[in-house]
Amino acid sequence: MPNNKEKKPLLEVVDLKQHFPIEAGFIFKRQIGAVRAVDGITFTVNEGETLGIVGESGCGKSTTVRSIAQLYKPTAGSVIFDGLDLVNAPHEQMLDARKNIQMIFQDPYASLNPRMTVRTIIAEPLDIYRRRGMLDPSVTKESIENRVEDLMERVGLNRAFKNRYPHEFSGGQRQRIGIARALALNPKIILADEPVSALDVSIQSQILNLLHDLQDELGLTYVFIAHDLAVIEYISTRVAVMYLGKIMELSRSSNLYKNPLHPYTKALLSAAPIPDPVIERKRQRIILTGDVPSPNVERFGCYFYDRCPYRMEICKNNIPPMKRMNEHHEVACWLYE
Amino acid sequence: MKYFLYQLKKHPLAIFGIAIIIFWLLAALFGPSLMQFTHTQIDSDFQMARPGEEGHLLGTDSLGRDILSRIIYGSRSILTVALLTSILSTIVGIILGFMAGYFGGKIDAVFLRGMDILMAIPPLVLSMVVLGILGNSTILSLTLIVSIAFIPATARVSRGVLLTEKSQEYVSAARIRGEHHLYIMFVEILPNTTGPIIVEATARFAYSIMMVASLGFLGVGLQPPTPDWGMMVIENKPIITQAPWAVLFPALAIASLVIAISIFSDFVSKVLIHEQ
Repeated sequence: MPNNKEKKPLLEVVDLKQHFPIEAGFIFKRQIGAVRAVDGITFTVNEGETLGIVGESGCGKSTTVRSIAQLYKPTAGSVIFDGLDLVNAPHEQMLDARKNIQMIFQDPYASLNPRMTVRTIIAEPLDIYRRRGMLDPSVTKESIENRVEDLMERVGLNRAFKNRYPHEFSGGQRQRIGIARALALNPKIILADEPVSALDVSIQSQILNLLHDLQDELGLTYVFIAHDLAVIEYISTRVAVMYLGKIMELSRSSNLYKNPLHPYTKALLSAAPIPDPVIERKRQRIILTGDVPSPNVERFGCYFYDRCPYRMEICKNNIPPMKRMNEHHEVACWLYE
Repeated sequence: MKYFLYQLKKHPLAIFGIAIIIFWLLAALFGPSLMQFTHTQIDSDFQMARPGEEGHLLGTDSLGRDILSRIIYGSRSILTVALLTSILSTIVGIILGFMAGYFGGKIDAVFLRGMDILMAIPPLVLSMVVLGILGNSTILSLTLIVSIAFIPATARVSRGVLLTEKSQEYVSAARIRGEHHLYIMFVEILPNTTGPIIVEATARFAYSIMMVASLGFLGVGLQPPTPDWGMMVIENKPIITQAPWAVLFPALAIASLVIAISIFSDFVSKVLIHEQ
C-alpha cells in the first residue's frame, strides 16, 4: 500500500518550537512562563508519502500542523516547504506556498461557515486566488463553477447539492465538503488534523479510503494526525510518535507496529485493544504510572523520564538525541545508545 | 418570512408589540397631515380643554395647543433619533468590537480600558453634560451624543460574539488561504453573529427612546417649538392638577413605544438566538 517511489523531501521541519506565553499582570503584562506545546521537533515528509503523527491529547500534534501552516508564528525553528522557509518567507512567496498547503480540520461542523452554501465554501480558495491573479488566466467564473461540481463528484457528493447549506449534511458529507475545499487549488500537501476522529467508525473508513484514493490519483502528500492507532497504521507510510511536544520515535509504519522501540510507543501500542477475544485475553498491557506532566516547565532530561518504567540515571539530566537504528527507524531513547 | 410568521403565531404578545410600533411609524409618516390642528397652533379660547372638547381629542395644554397633534408630530423626532442612534451605535460598535476582539493583545486592552472609562459615566449624565455645553440640541447632535453613550454596550456585545466565532475552524481555514483580515471579519464572521447583534440593536432602540424622552424632560432635548414627548411632560407639569391629560398622554406615548419595542426585542431574541 505505501507508495514510496520518490524520496524527495517536500517538507522539512527543523527544530520547530511553538511556545505559548503565559502572561500575568494588570496593565503591564509580563511573561511568567510558557506552554511548550511543541518543543523542538525535526522531521521530513517526502513527496507522495503520508506521515502519520500519533500521540495522546495535548502532546502537540495539532499545534505542529498549525505551525507548519503558519497559523501560529513558530517560536523557533524552520519549516521548509519546497525549498522555501515559510517562517521568514515574504508575503508574495508565502501566498504562493499557501496555494500548495491545504488543511482538513477535525470538526466537520465548525470548519464550514454555516452561512455559506457548499458552492461558496468550495469556491472560496479559487475565488481569492483568482482575485489575486495567481491562477491560470484561463480560469473564469464559469470554469470555477465547473471545477466546484467536478470536485463535489470527486469526493462523492451529488453536484445537485451545490446550493445547500452545511447544516443540511451529515458529518461524513461535511467532511467530504472540507476535503473538496482542500483539493480546490490542487495543493501538493494536505495537512489533515484528525480528519476522522469526529466521525462514526463506518464513515471513518469511507473517508480514509477516499483520502487514500485521492493520494494515488493526484500524487498528494499527507501529514495525517490521529490518536487512533489503527487509523494511523492503515493510512501512513511513516509514523511519528509524539509525547509532550517531542518526537519519541519515527519509523516506517510496518516497523513501528511490529517492533516498537521506545518505552512510550510500547505502552501506547499495548493500550490498544485487539478485536479478537482470545488474543485480547492474553494481551500484556504496560500500565504507565502517573499523568502527563505539565508542559509549562522547561525540561533538561528525557521528556518521558517521570513515567518511564526503564528510566536510568542518564535520562534525568540528558535529553536523548534521535538515534537512527536502521534505514527506516529512528528513536529518541538512551536505552539504545 | 414563513418561519417569521409561524413564530409570530406562537408569540401573540409580539403581535401586540409590532402593532404598536407600526401604529407609531404610520403616525410619524402620515399623522401630521391628517391632523385638524397643527402642533404650534394656539387655540386661545380653549386653554386646558378637556379631551374631546371642541375637536381636541386629547385636550389642550395651558396655551391651548392640541395635545394629540403635538404627540403625533413629536413621534417624528423621537423615532428618527432613536432609529438613527440604534443603527449608528450598532455599526460603530461592530467595527470597534470586531477590531479589538480580532486583533487582541494591546489593541484589545486599550479598547477595553477605553470602554470602561466611557461606561463609568452614566449615559444620561454624559449626554446631559455634553448637550448642556453645546446648547441648542438638534436631531444630529442628539443622535451623535446618544450613540456615543451607547457604543460601549454595543461594542462589547460585538466583541463577545466575535470571540466565540473566531476560534471556529472555518476561520482557521480562511487564514490558511491567506484571506485579508477585513474579509475574515466581515464576510466570514459577521453573518454568523447577526442574531445577538440584531437583538442588541433592537434593545438599544428602546433604550434610546427612553434616553431621548429623559433628555427632553431634563430640558436638554430638542428645542421648542419642535414638540418633544419628554419636554411636553415637563412643560405641563405645573398644570397637572387642572389638566392631568396634558401630562398623561405624552407619558403614555413614551411608555407605549418603549414597551412595544421591548416586547419586539424579546421576540427577536427568542427567534434569532434560540433557533440555533
